[in-house]
Amino acid sequence: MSPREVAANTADPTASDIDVFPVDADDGSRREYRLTTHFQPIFSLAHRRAVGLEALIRGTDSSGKMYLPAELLAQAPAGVARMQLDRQCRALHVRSFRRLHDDVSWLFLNVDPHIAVQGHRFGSFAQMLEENGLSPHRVAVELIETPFDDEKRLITAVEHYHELGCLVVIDDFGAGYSNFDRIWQLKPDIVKIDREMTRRVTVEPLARRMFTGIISVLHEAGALVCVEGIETEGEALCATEANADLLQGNYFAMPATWPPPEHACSELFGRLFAQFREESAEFRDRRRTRLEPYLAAFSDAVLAISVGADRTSAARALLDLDSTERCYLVAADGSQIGASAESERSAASRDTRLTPIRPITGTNWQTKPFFRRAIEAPGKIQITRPYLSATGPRLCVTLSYALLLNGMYHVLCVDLDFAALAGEDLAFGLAKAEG
Amino acid sequence: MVDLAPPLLEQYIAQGGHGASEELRLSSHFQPIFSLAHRRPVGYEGLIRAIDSAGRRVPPLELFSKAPHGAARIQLDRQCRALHVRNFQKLGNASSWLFLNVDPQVATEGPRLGSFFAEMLESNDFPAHRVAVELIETPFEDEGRLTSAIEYYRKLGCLIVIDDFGAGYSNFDRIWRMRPDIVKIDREMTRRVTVEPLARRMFTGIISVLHEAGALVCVEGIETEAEALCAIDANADLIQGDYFAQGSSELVPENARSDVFARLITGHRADFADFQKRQHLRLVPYLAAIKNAVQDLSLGATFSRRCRGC
Repeated sequence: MSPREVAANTADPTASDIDVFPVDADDGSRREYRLTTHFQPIFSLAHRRAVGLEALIRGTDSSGKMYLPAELLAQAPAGVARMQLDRQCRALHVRSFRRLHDDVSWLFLNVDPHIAVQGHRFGSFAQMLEENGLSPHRVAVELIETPFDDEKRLITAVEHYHELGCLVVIDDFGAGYSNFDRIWQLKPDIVKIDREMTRRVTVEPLARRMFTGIISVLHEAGALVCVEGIETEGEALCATEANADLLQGNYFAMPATWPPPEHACSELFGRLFAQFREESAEFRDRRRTRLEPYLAAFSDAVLAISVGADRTSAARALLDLDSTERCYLVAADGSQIGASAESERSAASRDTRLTPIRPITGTNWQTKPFFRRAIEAPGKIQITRPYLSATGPRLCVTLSYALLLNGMYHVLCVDLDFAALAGEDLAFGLAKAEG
Repeated sequence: MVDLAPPLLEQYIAQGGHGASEELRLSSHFQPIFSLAHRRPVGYEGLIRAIDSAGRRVPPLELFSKAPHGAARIQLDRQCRALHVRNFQKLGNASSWLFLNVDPQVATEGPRLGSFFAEMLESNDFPAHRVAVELIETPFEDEGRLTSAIEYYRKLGCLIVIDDFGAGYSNFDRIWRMRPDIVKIDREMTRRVTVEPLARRMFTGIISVLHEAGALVCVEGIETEAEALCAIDANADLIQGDYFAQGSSELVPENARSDVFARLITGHRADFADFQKRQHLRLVPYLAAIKNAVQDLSLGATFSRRCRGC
């Protein structure tokens, strides 16, 4: 039994810490708000258990009306009173957290960046942690997304928390002002993805395809990625597929005064992983089946060209397939040799807006992944991720292959209409593909 | 000397605070946008140049501050766009895109002053499919109205461009909502990638995510060879900046920069080959050790003992 479970079983849940915050109105009357801490667990996908708890404040007035964090803060007059309330909430969170006797998990605390930079007037954050016996390395400071006019002071605040030894978390990434410039400036340890993005990925194929890429960029920035606001199994699966590290949301556990026991979600994770495995396998099968005729026709074309057949006849069978857009040959320096052989269907649906970038002889593909990857691994077919076709208006994937012609490497390429290839299957994002 | 021949120039009367008015002369500059694959300009961005009665150059920000909002702003914005279209048409380029900046505020409020853009293009005989409408990065309250403004330009047949991606408010939610054809990367990001290894590693990934969104990616504000090389390495489609060509009232000849491109791309190839060699050399001992470990494990060695040698 974990320390937390012991605590949960022995302590009286109603005896959790309660603070009172008085607000004096202009007419001299005084209202009091009872403050309690709710915890929402943050799970590690790899560990299948909670590794952190986000503390959320709940306020109740004398009539029993409940206030969510933003509503509660708004009750205190702006300025010193609001700052005091904010600090009082954090101190309460730390005390409540200590009462859980959890010696491993992170405590996620929300901090308004404005307050963070103003804040040493009433004693420091470090002091408060020390008084309550919580080591800073157990605390993840979550900076709320806000248009911040003085980015320099925000950077100073982040440096302050880093120096204390806290983890720094950026909230609501991908929406509003929480953008890549923040990542570079603040170098967060954990990035939380905006809830709106989480919701969008389950309904929009475009967002879903991009999700994996966004998370991988954040990983490359040296951050762990947390997907929050997960409310459905669909959203949980998307986050799993996209390689998130941490998950949070009512689907796993609602905020509560006592967090659920350590293994409360093991079964749920087991189901999630099983479904993920099944979907991935299904996806790979579908992808293989769909690509098979193209890979076969492409191999035939490579063979025909390498024994000296002319390109048009070598590619004919390939161009006759439903999703083929165009086939072209590229020299070792990346320049296209001759015009592309275009399928009739593709020629008929050209996007006139893309005329300035139509590929012609001499167009150089040296910097493109389909060229680079083929030339680095001759003799192997490469498959790209979907991107805007050079003749538009659709996404395409390119198959490419480096072969020797007259002693020089050449790359044969074929663009396939991604939407036609994927058909009705909107989740056909190639996101799960290993290629 | 700036050529102030009549059709290149237009008057703009700015109303001052106390009924005073100020007369400015407006002209167009065009900065080329190059395609890396084609090594030539495929588009030009129209930039406004203003000169006051004393002959002083008024920077664009200052010019627009003279008409900060409302009907005055809409009129100035429209006047600039019409001037660019007429000037571009006069230069005789019949194939490239013309990039026109539109203030999102104007894009959403403009319609109440009557329709303008379609008529303006038609009266100048400029096809909409050669116009790329660039929406300036700005915190925008009413994203819903912005979306409908974008639909207007898209229905006309224009390309939609999102500006300053990766900074401030130009974020992924905009990409999903607006489905741009072209995304321009924020200048600050371009600058950062040359000095910060972290930013550089992420740059390629960001561009690849934008490609997956079905957009072409333009890296703008390129001022040095190092920035140009980063953009090439990260697989940008379009590049723009003073390093290649400054804005000018005339268009650059098609092949004006082919030698620069040839040099850059050769340089990049050499850099990349170098990089791969270094990476390979560093990995060689680890690759060899893991190969051995795999072999030993498959022959029944225990895991902990086997991996000590890794």
